[in-house]
Amino acid sequence: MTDVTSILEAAAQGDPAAAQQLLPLVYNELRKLAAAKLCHEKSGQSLEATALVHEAYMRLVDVPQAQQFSSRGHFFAAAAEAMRRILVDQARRRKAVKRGGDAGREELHESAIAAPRPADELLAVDEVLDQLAEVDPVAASLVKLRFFVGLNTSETAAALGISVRSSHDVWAYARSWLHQKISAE
Amino acid sequence: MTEREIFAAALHKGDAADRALFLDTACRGDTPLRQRVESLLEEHHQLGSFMEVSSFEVTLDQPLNEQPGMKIGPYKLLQQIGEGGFGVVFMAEQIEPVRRKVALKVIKPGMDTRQVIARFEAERQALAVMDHPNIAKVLDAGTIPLRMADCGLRIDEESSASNPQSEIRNPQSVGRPYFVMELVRGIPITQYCDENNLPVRERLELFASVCQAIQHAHTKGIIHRDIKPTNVLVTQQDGEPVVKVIDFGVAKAMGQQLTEKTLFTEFAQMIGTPLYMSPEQAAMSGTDIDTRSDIYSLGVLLYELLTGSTPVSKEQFKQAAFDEIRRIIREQEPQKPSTRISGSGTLASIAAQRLIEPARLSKLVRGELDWIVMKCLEKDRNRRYETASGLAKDVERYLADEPVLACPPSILYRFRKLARRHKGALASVSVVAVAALLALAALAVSTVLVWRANQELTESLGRERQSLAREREEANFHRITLADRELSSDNLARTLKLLEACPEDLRQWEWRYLMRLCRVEPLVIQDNTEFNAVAFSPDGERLASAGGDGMVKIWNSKTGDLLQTFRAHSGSVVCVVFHPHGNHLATAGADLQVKVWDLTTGQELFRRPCHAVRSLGGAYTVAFRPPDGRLLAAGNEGVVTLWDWENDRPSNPWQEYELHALPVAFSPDGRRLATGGAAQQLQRLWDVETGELLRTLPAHTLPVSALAFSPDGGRLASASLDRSVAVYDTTSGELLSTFLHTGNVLCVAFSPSGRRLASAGEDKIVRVWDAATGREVLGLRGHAEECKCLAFSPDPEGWRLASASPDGTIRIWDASPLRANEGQESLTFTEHTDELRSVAFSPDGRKIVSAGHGGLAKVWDPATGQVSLDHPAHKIMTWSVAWQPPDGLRIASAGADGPRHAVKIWDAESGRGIFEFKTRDLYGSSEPEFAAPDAVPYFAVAFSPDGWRLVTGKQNGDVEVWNAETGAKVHKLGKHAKEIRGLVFSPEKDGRWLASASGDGKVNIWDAKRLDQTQKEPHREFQGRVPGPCLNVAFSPDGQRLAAGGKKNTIIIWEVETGRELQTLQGHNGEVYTVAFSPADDGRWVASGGEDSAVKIWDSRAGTLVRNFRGHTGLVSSLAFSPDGRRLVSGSRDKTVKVWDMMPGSDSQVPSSNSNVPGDNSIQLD
Repeated sequence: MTDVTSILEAAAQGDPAAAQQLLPLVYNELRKLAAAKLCHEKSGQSLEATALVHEAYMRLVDVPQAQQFSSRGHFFAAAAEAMRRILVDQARRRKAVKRGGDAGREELHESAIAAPRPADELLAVDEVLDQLAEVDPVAASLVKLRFFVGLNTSETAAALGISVRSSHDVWAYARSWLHQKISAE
Repeated sequence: MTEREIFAAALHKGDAADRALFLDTACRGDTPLRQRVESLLEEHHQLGSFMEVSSFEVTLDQPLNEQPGMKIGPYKLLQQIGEGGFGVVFMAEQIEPVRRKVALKVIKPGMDTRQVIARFEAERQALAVMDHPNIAKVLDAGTIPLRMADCGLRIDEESSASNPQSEIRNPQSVGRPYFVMELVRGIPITQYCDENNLPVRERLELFASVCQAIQHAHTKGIIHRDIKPTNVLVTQQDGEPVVKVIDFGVAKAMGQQLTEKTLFTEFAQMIGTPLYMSPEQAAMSGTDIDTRSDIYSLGVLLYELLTGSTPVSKEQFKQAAFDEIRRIIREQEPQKPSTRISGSGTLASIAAQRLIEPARLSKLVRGELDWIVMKCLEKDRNRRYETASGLAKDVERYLADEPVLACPPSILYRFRKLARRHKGALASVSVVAVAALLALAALAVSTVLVWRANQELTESLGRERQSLAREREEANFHRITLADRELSSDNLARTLKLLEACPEDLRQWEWRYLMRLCRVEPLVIQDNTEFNAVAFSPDGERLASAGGDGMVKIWNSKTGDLLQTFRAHSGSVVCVVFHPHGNHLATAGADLQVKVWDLTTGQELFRRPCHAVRSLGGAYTVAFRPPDGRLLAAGNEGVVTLWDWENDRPSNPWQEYELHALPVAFSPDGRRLATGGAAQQLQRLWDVETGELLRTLPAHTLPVSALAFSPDGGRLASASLDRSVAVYDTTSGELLSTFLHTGNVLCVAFSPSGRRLASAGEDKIVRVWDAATGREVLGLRGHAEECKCLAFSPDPEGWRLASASPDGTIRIWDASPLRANEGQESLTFTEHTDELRSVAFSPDGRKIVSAGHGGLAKVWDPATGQVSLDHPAHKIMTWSVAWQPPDGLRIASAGADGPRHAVKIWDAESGRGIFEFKTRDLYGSSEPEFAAPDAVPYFAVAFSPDGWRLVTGKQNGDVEVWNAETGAKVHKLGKHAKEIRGLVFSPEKDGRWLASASGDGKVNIWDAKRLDQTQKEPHREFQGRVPGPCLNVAFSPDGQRLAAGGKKNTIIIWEVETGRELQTLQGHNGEVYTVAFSPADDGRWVASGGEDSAVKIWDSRAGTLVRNFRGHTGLVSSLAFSPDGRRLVSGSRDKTVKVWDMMPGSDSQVPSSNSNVPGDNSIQLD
């Protein structure tokens, strides 16, 4: 528990290695948490990515000790990247199932997943997101927080340490940028 | 401006003209940039719903069924071979470490996997030692990891083992359990018998071998709990039917504590049928299952083998409601098997399956077989067969035509039996013989025959008595084995029950040993003076004490009652020893006299000057010579003197051997005398008769304080101020072993068996060692000052150990060795599925509220564990809970709901929300759009003792006061530099203080009388250490002292008024997370818990560790005492809450209190 807290503090003090350490921890936590949650739920229940990330935060971080804003930003950045990978995995599987790549289990899997959006869009965004990160890392971070984790305008603003208005603008820009890239490809 | 900034600014321009103008300036002629921005703006209008659904969800559907070909751990599924309510059974191939075929049973979802596996693990060792040809071994158990595919997520196995810190992250808690068993290719026993038309005799033979298998398990301490035909399979080996009992340990692992009806129902569905269940199992008392429950189930099985149906028939079961079936099992007497057979509508086919005519079947079963079955099916298990082998033997007796034990013996019955056995010889005269015996008629028959019949009858009765006695012993042995296993799984109540059921005449060492594990508190004799020495009378009944006030007192060693008092010396008495006959006492005192007393008359019989007490105390300076006690030795200062005191003359004028007061000890045969040496001085062994020096023993580096011979005289133990005890071989002089203390050792004693050695001294801990291995078997803590004298009770094993200390107490310990668990909880609450953060007692002590991760709060009864409210107080986490005084109708909680924190007040009975405050006040806006998890900072709540005010603590260090009725904020009371981790009011009647503990370890004391005023400075400030988000401060009941966790794993106790540090309590092996003061005994007891998983009880005045409660397997995060101080409750990261009984029942031979000493307040704890 203190691990993540101390990594966050290191990250808050500008240790670049800290963020690197954070991702696998958060990634594992999110997956296990999802698994644990889903198994306790009855069939057909769903989990919101946002709730998952919040819960992971409560579990991993000694909240009272953690410095409020700077450290949380690092956590959310890591969580967003982790959630992106998880969701992309999920979407890829789904596509594979659709193509019949995993015959025999197809029907069961089809009913198992009811993501509210086309997997294609998610995968498409994922493919070009790294290019956006090269051009505009802030925009890419915001996309992860908003698109994959589901934070809203003000939440992303707080996590990134920008104004709500900026958050709104960056989102508009990122959407246009990504849409253009995807359409071009 | 960056591309994005230009884009954003342009987006905000109202019309195309403005935008164009803006872009002209912003791009400053950079045409590609302008083109990019323009195309992005263009794109922006075509986005539609692109990326607008902002959150993803993951969903779960029914997990896939296991299928042949799948690999589970080292097992590859081959084909499905069975299916039941439990789950599915596969034939599987084990690949490593040996290649073999096994049966693999996958349990269907719905069980708490972690618990199932944990229970199995607890049983595994016992299961491993079962080795019987009729038992199919359970080889393994494991968890099928949840395949993330089922959730739309994938988990790679190698990463799942990381982060052992938190169990929720442990994959064990996810997935489904499976059991691996020896593969048995058989069919249920009933089916086998019917398909093969087995006659009754052969059925009975098969059944007897089932009993033998069960008996084997019982002797290993394993109860099957689920004996039924589908678990008793028959296979053919070399053409012979062989019984295999399967599924041992599975039922126990699946759930032994079925207290809730719903659970029971589910359980029944899972195991398929309650038809074979004993009344006590059906009663759902949960834990109260023993070997006799299996006997019942065997009875049902036998019933079915004989009659073709179970006592409660399957048809009945299908029709009746579940509760009705339970009632029938518990209350209704079943039909006798013979009655069932004759009343059966399918008698013809039942008889045909047994190759017998219908009329004869009923007749065959009537009588003995009825009795045997009905004895198994007794509702009162005390009336069933004690053991499975007892049942088997009775069946075998029936088969051998011997009288069975199952029936009330009557001469007629026995004779009939006898006669039948001698059918050939007796032939026609048997009837006559009966007549001869009964009527003593002098008929003209062979008297020889009658005589022989009589003799055989006597012999047969003798044999029966023998087998009855054997059975009794076996049953006793079972109870002990079971009690041991119950205790190792921390089931104290059950252990005691089993132990109490052991017949008194069969209670031996192991019984006492287990009893000892259940009770740890000594009998404490207290006086207003220091105790320098203690001695048991030769019969162990009385105890003599040497007091600092010159008094010698005689106590009842079992009750602690004072029997006799006399003034022995004008100064303090330093030494007291019993004469071997028990009627005289020798004492030595600070008045430099040694005296002998007659206990009957109270008269002084002998007196001599003796300088024994000038240094080192001297509890060991006087001794009577065994066996007659005529000689008295005193380790005088510089002189060892022996007196033939009865004739009033010195027997041997030994002089000038040493320069200091010496401990002395006679060998048990009285022939040798050992005298201790001063620093660097040799210890010596003398021949008492001749005065000859027999041998010297190596010296300690510091003076010797006490000596003790082993009971056989072969070893001598010497305790020394060099903090060690050395044991020498008295023949060879060889040093055999050394035992180390952390302070000067002042006393030593061998147990009467010589197997154990006790020693104690300035480190206050009485240590009991295994004399052979040198292992410390007991560390008895409780003395507040050094221990000066030790004495074992003279019973053969030395069950009790008395220790005398200047702290004014003699403690009589139960000295049989103790294993790891020093304390035992009275209840473990396992309803939480997540880590605990906070626990609190209701003001009346009848309820506990507990909460933590996951946010779910549970209100439950500390006596039964019965949950009265399951309240989702918060969605993600509950940091802190508090009951509202004085009536306890409401509970306040601080916690996190998704991204937000909130403080909520809710009804303790219904959970209905009364009011709550969220983040509103913090951000100043009415409904903040955003609140990240830690932006909302309520971590602590506390009610003022009058219940009018609610105080909250926040992350920013603010302590705020609210109107507890309306939820209106009163104002900010004060502030810490760091986050608030805990809040607590002083509990005295007009509570004066409020303590707030902050993350930087600062504990502020606020004036609780002025809650409605802002207090710029706290009344006082203490520096403690607050390592976790827990309440680790507590006030003594009078509010005058404060306890808090300190640095280096300590607990510090301060005086609130002066700020003076009173005590530092040391003993935890990790950070202290939580402390609590007991309301009882004027705040003498402090409880603490923390990282090392231990709950410790301290004497806050003496600063000593009193008790150690072990049992948690994770960090102890919260503690609370019941208002009467009788119970302590502890919440842990191991997801359990344990209730510790601070005053368990005290009916043992080591009672926990004595009533005759005024002002005694030392023993309220036990």
